[in-house]
Amino acid sequence: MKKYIAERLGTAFVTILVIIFVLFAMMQFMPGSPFNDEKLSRELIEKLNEKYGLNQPLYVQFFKYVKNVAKFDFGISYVINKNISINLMLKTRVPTSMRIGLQAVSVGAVIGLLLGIIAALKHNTFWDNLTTVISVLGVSVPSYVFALLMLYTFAYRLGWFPLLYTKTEPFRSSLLPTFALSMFTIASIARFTRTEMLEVLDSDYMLLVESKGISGPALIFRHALRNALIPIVTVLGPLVVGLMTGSLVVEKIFSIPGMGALMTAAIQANDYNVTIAMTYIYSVMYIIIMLVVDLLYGVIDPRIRLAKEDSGE
Amino acid sequence: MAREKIMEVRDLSISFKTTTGIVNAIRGVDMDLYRGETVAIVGESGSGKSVTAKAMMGILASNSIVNSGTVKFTYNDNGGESKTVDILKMSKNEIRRDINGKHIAMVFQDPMTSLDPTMTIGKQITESMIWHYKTPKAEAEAKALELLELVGITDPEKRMKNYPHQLSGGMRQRVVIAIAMACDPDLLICDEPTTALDVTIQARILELIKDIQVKKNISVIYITHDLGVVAKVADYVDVMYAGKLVEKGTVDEIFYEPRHPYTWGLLSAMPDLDTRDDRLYTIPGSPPTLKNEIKGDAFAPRNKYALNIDTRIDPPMFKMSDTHYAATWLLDDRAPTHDMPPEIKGRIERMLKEENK
Amino acid sequence: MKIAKKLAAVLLASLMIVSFSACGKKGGAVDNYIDIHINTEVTSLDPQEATDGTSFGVQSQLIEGLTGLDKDGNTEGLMAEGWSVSEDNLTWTFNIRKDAFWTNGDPVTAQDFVDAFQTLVDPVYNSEYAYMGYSIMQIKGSNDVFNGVADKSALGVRAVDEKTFEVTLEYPCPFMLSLTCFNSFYPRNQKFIDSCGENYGTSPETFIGCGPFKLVEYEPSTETIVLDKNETYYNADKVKLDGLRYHVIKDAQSAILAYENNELDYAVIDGSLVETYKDNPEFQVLYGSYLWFLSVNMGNEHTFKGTNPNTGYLRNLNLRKALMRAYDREAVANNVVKDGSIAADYVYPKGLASAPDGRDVREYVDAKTVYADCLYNKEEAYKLYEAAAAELGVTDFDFELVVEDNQQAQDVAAFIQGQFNETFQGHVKVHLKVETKKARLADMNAGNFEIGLTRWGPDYADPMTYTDLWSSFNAQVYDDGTKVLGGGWNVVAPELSAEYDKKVAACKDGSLSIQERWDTMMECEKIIMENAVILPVYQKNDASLIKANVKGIEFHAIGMPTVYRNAYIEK
Repeated sequence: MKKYIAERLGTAFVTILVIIFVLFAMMQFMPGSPFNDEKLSRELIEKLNEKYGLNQPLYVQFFKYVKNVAKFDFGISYVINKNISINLMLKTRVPTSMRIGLQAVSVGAVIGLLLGIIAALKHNTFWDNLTTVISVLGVSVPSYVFALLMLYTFAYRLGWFPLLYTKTEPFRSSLLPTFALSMFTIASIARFTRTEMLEVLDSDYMLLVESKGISGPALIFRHALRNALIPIVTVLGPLVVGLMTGSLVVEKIFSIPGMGALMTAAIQANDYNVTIAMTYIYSVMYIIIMLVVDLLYGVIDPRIRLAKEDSGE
Repeated sequence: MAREKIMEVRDLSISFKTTTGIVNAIRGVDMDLYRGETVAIVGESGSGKSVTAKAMMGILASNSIVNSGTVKFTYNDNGGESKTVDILKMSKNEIRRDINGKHIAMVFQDPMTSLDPTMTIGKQITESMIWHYKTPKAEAEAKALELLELVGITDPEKRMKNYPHQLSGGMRQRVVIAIAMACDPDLLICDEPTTALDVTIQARILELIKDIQVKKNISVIYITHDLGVVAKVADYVDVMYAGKLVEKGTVDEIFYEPRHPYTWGLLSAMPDLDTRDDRLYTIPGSPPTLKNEIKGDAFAPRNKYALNIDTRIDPPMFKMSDTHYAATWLLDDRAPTHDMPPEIKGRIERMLKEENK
Repeated sequence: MKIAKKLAAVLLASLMIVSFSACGKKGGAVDNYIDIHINTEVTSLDPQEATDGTSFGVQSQLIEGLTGLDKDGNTEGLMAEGWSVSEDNLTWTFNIRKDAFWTNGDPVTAQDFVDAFQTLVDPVYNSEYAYMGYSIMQIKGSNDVFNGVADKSALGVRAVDEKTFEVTLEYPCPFMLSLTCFNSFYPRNQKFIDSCGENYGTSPETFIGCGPFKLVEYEPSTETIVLDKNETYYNADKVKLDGLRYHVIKDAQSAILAYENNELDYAVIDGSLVETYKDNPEFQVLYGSYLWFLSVNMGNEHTFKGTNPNTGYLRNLNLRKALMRAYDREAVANNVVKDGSIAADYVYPKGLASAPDGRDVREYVDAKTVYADCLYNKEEAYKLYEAAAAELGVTDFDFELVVEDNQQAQDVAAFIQGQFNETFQGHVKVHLKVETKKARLADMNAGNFEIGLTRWGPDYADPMTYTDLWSSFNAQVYDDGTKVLGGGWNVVAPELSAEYDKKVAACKDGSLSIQERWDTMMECEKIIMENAVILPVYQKNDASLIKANVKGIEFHAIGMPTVYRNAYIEK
C-alpha cells in the first residue's frame, strides 16, 4: 500500500510538471503580452516585460516558475491585481470556492444518492419516473438557467435568500449557489445510483441477505448501497474537482469571489502568473482527489484494497 | 416416531406479470415436508421448482401474483410453542422478521455471486444472529467459528476475516451453508447447490449438507434438475413439469418404478457410464411457455405415449401407493397398458445391480 | 450555451416586466449608503499603478488630486486651494489646502505630490501610465527620467514649502488643470506606503487616503468594497452620505435583479437589457469612454505576406471616402450595439470637452452639416467607388478586416461587412479576421493588417487626446521599417500631414490663444475627416439605472470618475 501511494504521488508530481510545462509553452506561443492596452507604446511594453522578467530565455522563466510554484509561491499578478501577491488574491478565493463546492458536492451526493435509492427501490413507479425526470433536467438544463431561475424565484420574488453572495452572510448567501451547482451532481449521481442499485438489488448476494431475514435500512445501506457505491465513487471524483474549483457561470451570476472567476479573468487578461497558479492548484486538487477516490475505493471494495496489499508488500 | 409435518403446500398457483404478458409459473401444486426428511424437487428449468422454493421463503419477485393456495409452515417459536403460519398470508416484513434465516434458510446455486463482496465472511455469518437474536458479538463470532468448522473450513479464525474473493468456489459454498445454519433453521432450501461447482467438490458439499441434516435434525428441500444429486440425498422426490407436480414418491419409487413418461424421460437423460447409446437421450421438444392457458396435459406434445384424452383433459393424480402418485392418463384403467421403455428398464436393472453389490 | 444564455435573458426580461407592478421595496438596506454596481474588479488602489476606469472610480472617492471637476464639469481646486502659472506658461504653482489631511492624521503636503509625480515617471516603478507624465503633461526632464538617463530627482517638480507645490513643464500645457484631475497625478503618502511594503493597497489597514470617503472593507479582487464617510476630510460637513458600497457583479441579469430588489442604487446595464429599460424614468445614458473606428493601413507595402496590393489601394482617397460613406452608423449604434451608444460622424466624441464659449464640442462643430460629405450615403459611396475603380484600374476589392473576439466588436464588423457588400453591389468586399484583443493590437502595431476595427478612449478632457493620434507624436514603426502616422496617412499625403503636425505643435507650445487653439484643433478634425484618415463608427456610451431618490451624483463624461461627495439619498 505504501509503495502504491508513493508511486501515485510520484506520477502526480510528474503530471503537475508536465501540465505546468505545457501550459507555460502554450502561453508563450500565444501572441501579445499581458500588457495589451491601446495606450501602451511598444517601448513601454518592453520595459514592463523587463520588469517582470518576461524577456528572459524561456527555460530560465520556466525553472524559476517551477522552483517558486513548488514552494507555493506564485509570485505577483501583472494585470488583474497589479503587483499584488497571488497568494493574497487566493487567500479568500480558494476557501470560498472550495467551501461552496464541498457544500454542493455534499448536497448533490446526498440528494442524488437518496433519489437514486428511492428510484431503485420503487422501480417503475411514480417516484422512479420523477427521479428520471429530475435527472434528465439536471443533466440537460445548463446551470446558468438554474442559477438565474433560483435567483429570481427564491431571492428576488420570495426574498428567502440574499440575492448575491456576501461575506457578511457567507452561509445563507451560499445556499442558492450551492443548489444551483449541485443540480448536475444530483442528476448524475441519482441516475448512476439508480442503475447501480438496480443491478445490486438484482444480485444473488442480495437475495441471500434477504433470505437471512435482513430488511430495511440495514439491507439497503449495509449491503446494497455499499456495493453500489463502488462505481459511484468513480464518477463522484471528477464531479468533486469540478465543483471545488469553482464554476465560472454560477460564480458570475451570484457574484462569488471564487477561483472559477479568477481563472477566466486571468486567461482573458493573459496574466501568466495567475493562470499558472490556478492551473497548478487545479492539478494538485485533481490529483489529490483522484488519490482520495482511489483510497476510498480500497475502503469500500476489499477486492481492490487486498489486491493492493498483496502487490504492495 | 411420528412424522412431524413442517411444511404443507396446497393448491399453490403463482403468475408473473412480464412485459409480454402473464406467465402462469405454478399451476396448483401440493407438497408436504416432514422434519428431518429431504425432499428433492426435480424438473427442467422453467418447471416452477425455484418459484415454489421462493414462495416458501417469501422472497418472490415483486412482479409475482399469488393466485391461490397456502404454504403452511410449522415451527417452534421462541417460547418453544409449536406455531403454524401461512407464509403467503404474511407480510414481507413479518416473513423477514420471523421466518427467513431463523426458521427457513436457503443455499443458492452460485457461490461465486451469492456472497456480499464487501463484507467479511465472519460478519456475513454473524449478521443474522445479531439481527434476529441480538446475540452479543463475541458469542456470535464464537458460533460462527463453530459453524465454519462444521462446514469443514480449515483455519476458521483466519477465514473469518477474509472477504469472499479470497475463497475458492467450494469454500464459498461451505460459507453459504454456514450462513444458512447460523440461526439453526428448521428447513434448509438448497437451490441447485452444486451445479456451479466442480464435480469433485459437488459430492463433498452434498455429503456436508447430509451430515448437517443428520446432526441438526432439519428438513432439506433440494431443487435440482440433476437426478444424480437426487439419488444421493433425497428421501422423497417431487417431479415438476410446466408448473405442476407430475409424479411424487420416495426416491426408490421414482428411480425404480417411475410411472410418468416425463420421469422416464428425465431418467433416460441422466448420464450413465454403461449406457450403450453413443448419444445421451434428450426429451424431444421444449417445455410450453406457460403464457397461454394449457389445455389437457402440458406434457402431451412431447410425449410419444400421449393419448387422445391428454390433449383435452388434465390428468388427475393416480395413486400407486401411500407415497407414490403420478399424473398421467396412462395409469387410468381404461388406458392401454404401456410398459416402461426398454432402455429405462435396462438402466433400472443396472442401478439395482449396482445397489446390491 | 449561447442559446441558453439568450433564452435565460429573454425569460428574465419577461419575468421582470410582469413583476414591475408586483414588487415594492424589499430587501436592500434603507440606509444612507449608495450601493454602486461595478462589473469588473478593482485592479489596484495605487493611483500611479491603476489603468482602468473601475479602479480610477473607486480611488477618486478615497484620494483627491490637486484639481477636480465641479458638477458642471469645470475644474475646481480640491487639494489645491489656489494656483498660478508663470508668464511663459511653463511653471505651475499649486497651494495645497491647509486643512487637507491623510486619514492617519498626516497633513497632505507638497512633498506628497512630488513623490507622486516622480513615481509616475520613475522607470524603476514603471507605471503603465508614465506617458501621462512624459508625453502628455511633458514635465520638465521627464523623458530623461523615464529613459533612465537622469535620476528622478531631476524631474521638474519641487516642494517650495510644506504646502506649495511647483511643476515645471517642457512645453506649455493648455489643459494642465484638466490633467491634474487625473488619478495618475494623485498625491502619495510615501512614508505610509513604504511602511506597508508590498502589502500597500491590499486592505483598509494598508491603505491611506485623503478624500471624502475612507476605505473600511477591501481585499484584492473582492466582491464588495465598503467606503465610509471620512470625518477628517476638509469638507466633511458637506458630505451627506454615510458611505458607499461597491458591488462587483459581472452578470448583467444578476445586477438588474439586485437593482430591482433595491440592493443596488446604481446599476450599469448591458446591451441586451437596454431595450427593456430605455423608457424607464431611471434609465440614463452616460456619454463616455471610447470612439470606435476603422483604421485603414495606408502605410506599408510590405507586410509579412509579401507585397500587399490592398494597402496600396487604400491610399486612394476616393476609395477610403467611399468606404466611409458606405455604412449606416445610426444603424450600427441603434440596431447592432443598442446599449445607448451613438453614431459617430466625427472624431472628437460628444461630451469630451467644452469650447471656450462653453458649448460642447459636438455643438460647436455640428458634424451633420460640417462633415456632410462624410455622412452615410449609398449612392454617393457608389460614385466614389466608381471614381476609385477608374483611378486604380481595378473593379473588385477584397479587404481583410481584423476584429477582436468580443461579441459586440464582431457584431459591428459583420454588420459593416454586410453594408459594404450591399452598397458596392459586391464589388468591395471585406472578410473578417477574428483575433484576441492582444493579437489584434500586436498586428495593428506591427502594420500587419489592412483594415482594423479599433477604439481609442481619451486620457484627458481635451480634443488633443484625439488630435495627437495622427501627429508625429504618435509615430509608429511598422515591422517593415516604415515610419507611419495614424495608419500611414503621412505616406499618402506627406504635405498635409506635415501641416497637421505643425498645427498640433502650435496647440501645444502656448503660442495660440485659447480660442485660436480650439479652432486649430477643430481644423485638425476636419482634415482627418475629409481625408478619411480614419472611418469613425460609433461612440460607446454607458447605459445605467439610477434610483430616483438618489440625487446629486455628478457624472462626468469622458474618462473622468463619477463624483459622489455631494450625493445624497432623498428620504
